[in-house]
Amino acid sequence: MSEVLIITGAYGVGKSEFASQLALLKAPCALADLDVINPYFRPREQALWLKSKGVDVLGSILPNHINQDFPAMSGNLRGAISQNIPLIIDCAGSENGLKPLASFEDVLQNAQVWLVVNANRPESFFDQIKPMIELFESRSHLRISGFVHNTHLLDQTDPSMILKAQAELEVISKALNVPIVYTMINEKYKSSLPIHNPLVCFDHLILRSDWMKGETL
Amino acid sequence: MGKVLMKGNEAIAQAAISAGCEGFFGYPITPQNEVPEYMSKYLAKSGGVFVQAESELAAINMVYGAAAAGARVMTSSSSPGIALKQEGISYCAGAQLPVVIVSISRGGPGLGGILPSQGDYNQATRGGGNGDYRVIVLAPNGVQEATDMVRHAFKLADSYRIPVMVMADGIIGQMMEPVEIDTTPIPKAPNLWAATGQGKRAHTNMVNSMHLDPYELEDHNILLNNKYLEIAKNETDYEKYLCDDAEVLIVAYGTPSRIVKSAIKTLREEGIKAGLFRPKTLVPYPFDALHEASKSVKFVLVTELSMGQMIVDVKLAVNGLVPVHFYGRTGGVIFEPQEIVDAVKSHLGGK
Repeated sequence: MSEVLIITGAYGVGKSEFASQLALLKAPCALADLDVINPYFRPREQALWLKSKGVDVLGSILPNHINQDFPAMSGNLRGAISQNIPLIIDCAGSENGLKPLASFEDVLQNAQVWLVVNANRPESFFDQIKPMIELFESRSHLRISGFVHNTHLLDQTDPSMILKAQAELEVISKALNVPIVYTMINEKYKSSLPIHNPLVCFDHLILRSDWMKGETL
Repeated sequence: MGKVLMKGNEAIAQAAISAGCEGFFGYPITPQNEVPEYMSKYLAKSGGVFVQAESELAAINMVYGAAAAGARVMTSSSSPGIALKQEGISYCAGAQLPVVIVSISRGGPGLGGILPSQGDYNQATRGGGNGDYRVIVLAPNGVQEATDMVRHAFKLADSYRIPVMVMADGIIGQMMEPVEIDTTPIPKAPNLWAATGQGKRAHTNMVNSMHLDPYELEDHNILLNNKYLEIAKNETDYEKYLCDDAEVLIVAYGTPSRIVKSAIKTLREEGIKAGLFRPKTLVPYPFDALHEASKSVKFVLVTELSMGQMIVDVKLAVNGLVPVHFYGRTGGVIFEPQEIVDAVKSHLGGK
C-alpha cells in the first residue's frame, strides 16, 4: 500500500497549491484532483506541466475535464492507492470537499489527513480551527492528523506575519495534539525564518499565472 | 479587519454587505456561485434578506419589487443568467430603480462554458432589454477594485436612480487576492418616490415603467436621456498606463488589462513604447479621453477575451485617426503576455 496524503481545509487556504508543490517534492507520485465543487484554479489545469515533473494528475474520467464541475472522478484513483508511489489527494474546500472520499473509505484507513490553514483567510481564522476540525471529522469519518501552515497574502506576504501565525498555530497544535507537518513558504524566506517543522518551499506558484501579480514597471 | 485574502466573488458579496445591501435575490450559476453562497451565510447576520429565487427572471423581478419598496438591493449572475434578466433590467431602468447587478462572465453563446470570457460586452453595454435605456457598467480588473466598484455602484444607483452593473470576467470572480474592504457606511438617498405606503403624503407613490400617453412617454425618454448625459459628464472613468510617450496604444479592460501590463513591460524592455488605456466604466465609455490618447500613436490594438466587441466603441472613439487592430481569445482561453507582444510586433511590421 502506498503512502496516501489527504489534503483538506477551508475554502481558499491554498490546498491545491500546497498539494501541487508537495507533489513536486514527492515525485514520482500521483496527485488526485478531487475538487468537483469549484472549477477554477485546480491542479488538473497544470496536468501536462506536472506530468513533465513526474506527477501524474488524476482529474475527471471525462474528457475536457478543465471545463467541468461535474462529480466525475477518475477511475484510476482506486488503482493509484494500491501502487507503490505516493498518492496525494487534493480535496475541494470546506467539509463538503471530503464527501467524495466516502466511496474510498475501505482503502483509506491508513491515510494521513492534513488540514491546511491560512491566518489571512476569513474562512480559516485560527479561532475557528477547533470547531472546523470537529466539523470535518464528523462529516468524513476521518481524523485530522496534521496541520499544514500556509499563512500568506500572495505577493504582499510579510515574513513577520508568517512567524506570528506560526507561533499561534504552535499553541493550537500543542493543545489539540495535532502536529504541524509542514509550513509552506517562498524559497526566499527559507534561511531567515526560524521554523522548526519541515518546510515546503516554492520558487513560483504552480496554479497562478505570473501576470496575476499585476507587475508593473 | 485589515487586509485579508479573499476570492473575488466573496469580496464582492462582503463589499455589498458593507455598503448596506438590504436584500439579495439570485439563482445559482458558475462561476459566480460564491456571491449568493456568501450572501446566504452572512447577509442575514447584518440584518439583510437573502432569497434564492426559483429562476433568474424571478430574481430580477424580486429586485425590482424590493427596490420599488425602497430597499437597497442586489442580484448577481453569469452570462446566460444575465441574458434571462434582461427584461427585468429594462423594467428597472424604465422605473428608475436603484439596483446593483453583478455579472461574472463566462464563455458563450448559449450555455457555452464555465471559464472566463468577455463575450458579454455587448450584452452589458447595449443590453438585451427593450426600449431606450442604458445601465451604468463598471469593469474592475482585480479583487480590490471589484469591491470598491461594488460599493461605488450602490452610490451611483442611489444618486441617479439607475441600475448599475458591475461586470467582471470569471477570473476576477474566482481569483484570490489580498483585499481590504472599506466599511464606511453609505447613507441612502431619500427615496421619496418609493412605494413605502402613503403615510402622511397627499398622494400615493407608484413605481412603474408604463406610460401609455405618447407625449408622456417621450418626456420620460428625454428625462432618462438627460440623466445618461449627466452620468457621462460626471462618472466616466479610465486608467492610463505609460501612455504619454507611447507609440502603440493597447486598449483592454478587466483581466486582459493586467496581462497587457505584463506585455508592456516586455515590449518596453525591447524598446517598443507601448501604453495601456483601460476603461473602468464601459457605460459611460471614455470616448473623449481615448480619442486624445490615440492622437500620437501609430496604431491602437484592442485586446479582449472575445471575438471583438469593445472594438466598436474604440473605433468610435478613435474615429479614424489611426488604424485600430484586434487580438482576442475566446472560449475560456486566456492569452499570455507574449501573445500580445507578438501581436504588437506584427503590426509594427517586423520591427
